[in-house]
Amino acid sequence: MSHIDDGKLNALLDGELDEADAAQVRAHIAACPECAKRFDEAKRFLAESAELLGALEPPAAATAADPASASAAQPRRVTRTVKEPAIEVDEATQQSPAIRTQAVEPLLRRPPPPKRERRFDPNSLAWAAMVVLAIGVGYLANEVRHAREAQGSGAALAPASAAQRGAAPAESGAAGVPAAGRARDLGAPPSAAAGGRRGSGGPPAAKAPPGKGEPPVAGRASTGLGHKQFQPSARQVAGVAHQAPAPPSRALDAAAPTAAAPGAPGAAGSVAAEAPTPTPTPAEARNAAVTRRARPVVEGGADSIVTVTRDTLAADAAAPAGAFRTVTLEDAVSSLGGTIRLVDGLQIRRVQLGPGRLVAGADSTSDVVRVTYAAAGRALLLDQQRIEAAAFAAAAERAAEEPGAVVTVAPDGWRRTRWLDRDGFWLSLSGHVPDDTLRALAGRVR
Amino acid sequence: MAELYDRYHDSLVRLLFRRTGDRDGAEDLAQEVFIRALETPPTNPRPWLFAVALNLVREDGRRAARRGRRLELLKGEVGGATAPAADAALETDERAAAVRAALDSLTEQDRSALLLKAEGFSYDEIAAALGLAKGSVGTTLARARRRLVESFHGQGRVQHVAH
Repeated sequence: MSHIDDGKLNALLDGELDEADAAQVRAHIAACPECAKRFDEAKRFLAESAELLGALEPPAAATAADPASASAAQPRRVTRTVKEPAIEVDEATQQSPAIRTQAVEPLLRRPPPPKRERRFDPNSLAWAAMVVLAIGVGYLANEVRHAREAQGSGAALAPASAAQRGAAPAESGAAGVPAAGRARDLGAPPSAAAGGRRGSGGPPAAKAPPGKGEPPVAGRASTGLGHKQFQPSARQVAGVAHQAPAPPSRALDAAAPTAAAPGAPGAAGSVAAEAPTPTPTPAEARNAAVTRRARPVVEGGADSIVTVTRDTLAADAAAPAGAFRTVTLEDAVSSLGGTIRLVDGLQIRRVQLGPGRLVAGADSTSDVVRVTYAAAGRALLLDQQRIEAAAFAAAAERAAEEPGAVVTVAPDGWRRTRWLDRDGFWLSLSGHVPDDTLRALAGRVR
Repeated sequence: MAELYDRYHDSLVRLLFRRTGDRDGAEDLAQEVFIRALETPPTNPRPWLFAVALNLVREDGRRAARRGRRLELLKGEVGGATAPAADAALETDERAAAVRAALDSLTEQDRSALLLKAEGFSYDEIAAALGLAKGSVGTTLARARRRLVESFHGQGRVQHVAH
């Protein structure tokens, strides 16, 4: 019998062989000194590598974004992976118990890692100062612009930020979780976009030759993922880049109007009045233990802060049937009969599907596809339905013939233009953007 | 989704920290992974989540490596500044840095397989996450374990000779 290869020896140690294979390998090891020696070696490597990895435990998780959790009275239970040393390999089965995971109180087993002193890099300070300055200037410019517009149109004067907050909770299905994915990310894990798609929902595949030869590192790094895939999208929102940037927090969440908003100003006002102020309770702050900061945007796009908590994840997962729910681009396309309208040059942040009754002017008997874009940190919504020929005349009464021909303005500054295109799409483009920007963007819907 | 978060968040952050050496960066990347899972709910979540995480790390690789090195340097400076009471901690940090260097010397595939195994992945799950045949997972792990250990001890020899 030929010798047992290292892969099989490790599979035995990891408990991955079935009974028959394991018995065969054990019998061979018992009879073959060379394989027995390599088996002992494999045990040693397994135990020692596990011990080495154990030295790389992340430090305790109190982040600057989460002061509440740092001071929370309850000790945090963490899961720690404990590896078996080689000498504990079960002689009867010749298997290590592999990996067992235990919940332990961290302070019982080892002292906490030394508190890491934060030191400031002068470069990052300069960068931070620039960002703060840019946001501040943009915010002030935005306030001035809104005030002027409100005075000019005679609309109720309200601070832009309050109006944005007011519109936020109107759409239950989308509450809380602005999507950060790009168009090609929807529906496929990252490497699928680079050619490695492996079936629906399947994981990305590293295209490396299996087996003996060591795969080239550099080659794989360049083929695994295109670097562009996760780069900031400032260039792609350049069409509206002249708009002053919004305040960074909750920028995307602050965007969802109800069906009543544009058509019934009073209703929109009441929504704004009822809007809960996002004052974090200690529990919420603890929940917000993890804050994802967007990568620095080089060309002045949206510097959004996206916060994901267990609650927001649960809220999205538990979205009621009557609300918008996030879907893949493919699903949206198929629900529209095989084609979809998109704003040329803007990057998709989220695609949703919801009942038509949630969108002003839409056919309430069929679903609406909502494509969300980010323009200078604010959401821009493109809602669309495919209209059957029989319902075309009725739909025509609810929309203009040309994009941007009619722009409605809600008291909170939310602008919307609706139109019907020649292929039977009912379309609505809306957002906190100036009229001319909205018209320009509507003209880019393809 | 909340269940996924509860079940895998700590594990994801640990893997990402081991991979990048940056605690905050690991949190950021874990968030990105969950956001993507929200957009595209995976049918087989565990391999999917970790595969996406490893791909994000690859994409972010050079930046993350720079960050990690800077953190290690800072850590060294801090250790020097507070040396009298921190001998043990410094030793721990040095060991961690050496392990990380050894880990960095592995190929991407070997490193990923090792880290996934350390999170309790079965061979089937590792194969699914990395796009390998199940039969080659044992070989990959055998090679990864051997190289990690040898690279770690190799550094020790080099340092010893240098001193």
